[in-house]
Amino acid sequence: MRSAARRIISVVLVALVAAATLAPFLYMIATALMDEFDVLRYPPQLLPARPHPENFAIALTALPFGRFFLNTAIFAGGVVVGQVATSAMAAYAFARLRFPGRDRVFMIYLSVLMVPVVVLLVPRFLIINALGWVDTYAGLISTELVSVWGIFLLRQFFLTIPRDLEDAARLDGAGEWAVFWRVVLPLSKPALATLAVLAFMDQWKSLLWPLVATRSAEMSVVEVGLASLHGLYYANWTYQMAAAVTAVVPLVVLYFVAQKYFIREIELTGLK
Amino acid sequence: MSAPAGGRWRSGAGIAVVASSVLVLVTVRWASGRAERGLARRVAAATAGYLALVARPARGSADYDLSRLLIEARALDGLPGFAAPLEVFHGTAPLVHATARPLSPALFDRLRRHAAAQSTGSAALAPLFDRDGWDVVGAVAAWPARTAWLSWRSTLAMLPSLVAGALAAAAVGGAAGRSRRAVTWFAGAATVFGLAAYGDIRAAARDATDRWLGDARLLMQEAVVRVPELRWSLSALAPIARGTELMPGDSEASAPWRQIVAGTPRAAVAVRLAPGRWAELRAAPEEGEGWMAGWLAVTVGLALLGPLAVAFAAWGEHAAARPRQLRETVAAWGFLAPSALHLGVFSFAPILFVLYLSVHRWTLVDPARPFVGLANFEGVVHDPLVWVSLRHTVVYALSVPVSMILSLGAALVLNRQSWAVRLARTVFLLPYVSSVVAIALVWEWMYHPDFGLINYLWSSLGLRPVDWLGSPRTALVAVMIVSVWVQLGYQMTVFLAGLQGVPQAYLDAARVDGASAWQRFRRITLPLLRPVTLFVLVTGLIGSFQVFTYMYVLTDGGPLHATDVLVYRIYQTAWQFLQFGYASALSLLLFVVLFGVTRAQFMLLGKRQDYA
Repeated sequence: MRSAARRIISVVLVALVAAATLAPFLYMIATALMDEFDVLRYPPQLLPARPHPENFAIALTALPFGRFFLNTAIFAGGVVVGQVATSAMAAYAFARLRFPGRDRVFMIYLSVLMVPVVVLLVPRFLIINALGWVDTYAGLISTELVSVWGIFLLRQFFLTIPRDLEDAARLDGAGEWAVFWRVVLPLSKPALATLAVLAFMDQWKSLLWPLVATRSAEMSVVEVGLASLHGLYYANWTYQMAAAVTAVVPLVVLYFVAQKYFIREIELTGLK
Repeated sequence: MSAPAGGRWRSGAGIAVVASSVLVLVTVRWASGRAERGLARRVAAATAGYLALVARPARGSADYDLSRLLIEARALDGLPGFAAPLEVFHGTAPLVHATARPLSPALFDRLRRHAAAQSTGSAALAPLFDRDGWDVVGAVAAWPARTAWLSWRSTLAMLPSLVAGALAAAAVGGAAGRSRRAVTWFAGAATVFGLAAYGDIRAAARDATDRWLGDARLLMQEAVVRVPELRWSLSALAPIARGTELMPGDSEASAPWRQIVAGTPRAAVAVRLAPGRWAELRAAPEEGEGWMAGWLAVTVGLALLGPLAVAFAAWGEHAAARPRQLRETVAAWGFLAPSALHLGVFSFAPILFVLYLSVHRWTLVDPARPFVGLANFEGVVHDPLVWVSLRHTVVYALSVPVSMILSLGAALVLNRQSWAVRLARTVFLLPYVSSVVAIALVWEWMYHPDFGLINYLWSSLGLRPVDWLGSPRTALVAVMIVSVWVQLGYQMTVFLAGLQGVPQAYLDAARVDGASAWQRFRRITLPLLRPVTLFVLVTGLIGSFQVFTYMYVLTDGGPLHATDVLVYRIYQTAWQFLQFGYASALSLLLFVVLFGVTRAQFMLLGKRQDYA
């Protein structure tokens, strides 16, 4: 009896939350397909009278969105490669090697998390400005190449790998690099993938740093481009929604493809 | 075998202790000498300017009358209080001391070609222009004063550092704990020594500024005595002290003083032009220049080389006997090198840099970036917009607990209903994984006052339509709703994962004992969920205190600053008003406000690393 009532409440709740979650997305898609008369109708139309897929072509050529997507891919991709590489190396040192001051050094690493990223925004910008890297991929990517959070995540994972395999490799005369590269990394593919997926998404979603680190349209990322489109076509909701849908799609596809990695990160957050 | 090896490490440490102290001494002497050389350069230029004012030109020529120039140059030597050793050349011939060496023709030629100050091996050489300011007809040389090695203050600081260093070096190879303690003491003493050495450099810079102002004042006062009409025009006196400000003043103080003028520090002296007529000569004080902080880093850094070397020697002595540990340490630092280097350059250096920036007026357009003390912070505290944005930031952060309560409630209902959990994971996470700007855009469209979906639903409930984002009363709440919508699914998923860690047996046992649903939640679920809750709260607060995208896209911080938050303020201050110093002070305010929360995150992670 109790469980039946709870089941009904659950169904209603799930339906409500799902509707609230999906409605803005569906409305985004519907508006993207409307024409300017559908949009300005009262009561608001939920569906276009006739779909206008050409909105997408118009919105995506109003600003060089192809270039924006390429820039975002280079930016997020570069950061992912850097973060995975540096995090894995540092995490291996912290999880597996013994050296004096290891725990203290690890704490110093973690202490970076005490400084909100925004505090570093001004000095980091001035540093890349001094290097002449403003409005270049180097400036965009370089500051994000290390993630203390990623080091922490991978260290936790490496600690769960049994040492036996490594010790076997060491007995065979493998150096630390060989152990890291041939034994630990292959065993850590899921953790590396989790970090990669999260880092990619984080960078794709970030607006503030690309906004200050780049100036020209050729160097803009999608989020910045979308915000510029908003400024240029502020009254034209069909184009804005068409561009918004295009910006959401890659992330949603990534999410569905790599869903288990997202969940793994959340479970790490939740369970440990 | 091990005893002589240990001795080697120990004596190496001893040498390093002495060497680092010597390096600091050499640095102080070089920096003080640099201040003296700068002073000599300026005194030479001032004297050249002075001579150009007081020496009469020869008839029909812009060049000076040699006998007059000779008299004026000789008079300088006897000027009371004018201490700088000087020589004046006409062409290449020395005037003040007739027996002095003439200027080398090559040097004079260089002076003419560059028409700017040159330095010879020991002296600073300023060009002496003719009355038209056109051609270089001579030169003024000034010799920097000799600099002392150490002040009593630095000596006092160096002795304990040397003693502590000797003790630490002697402890190398002894018990690890004792050695570590000795190195810690040494590091403390060395830091004090480095600070004292920096104090010497600063004092030398201050002294050079004071003496420069004193000399410039003397020359000005002498100039108005010799050429009385100069006293009526301050601008006519300007060539004596280029790069300074000369203005009417009322102070009659004889000693130089420091003051803040328009937010920048200034060193000033009073110049007596005539009875009852005073002017004020102001210059940027050398000790207030931005690069002084660099000297602080250099002296303290060099002083700390000693303790570092001793610690290294202690470790080396220990590790030399254990090659495996040595190999592992080297490998570990190899693995850490990329991230350590990056953190140094892009995290720790920026932290120091932001502190530095916050006490300077720093813009991209103006190359002058003077030290302004706490003026930026004063501005922050007195800026009503800062308080408004801080209040909005705090109110906005309330969206985190609100969505946490909602998501925890939903998670409790859905717990252990596997179909719901699966669905939740698929659908509810969508806002969290989507483009933030795109989500802001669709919400702005739904909030549209005339054609938006939300106002349609609102008025169908019989309520009056609201301009959600356009009215100062609702804009912040409207943005918070978006934020709750984005966070909800993510937090729910985290809580669902956390709830799996609550053993059903506990809950069943409590139920058997007659505990109500609320009691079971309050006494069992919530305590067991505490780490998860804390983690969601802390990371959520850190994120929401740094919210920017919604404000940038939805409201531009408006209307009437109703959604102005700290990060938006920082962005505007730095990238629209180009005030990077002020923006740095603002970001330090954010740092202070958030410190409790970020520290909690640090502690959580630090604790968690133990049981992994």
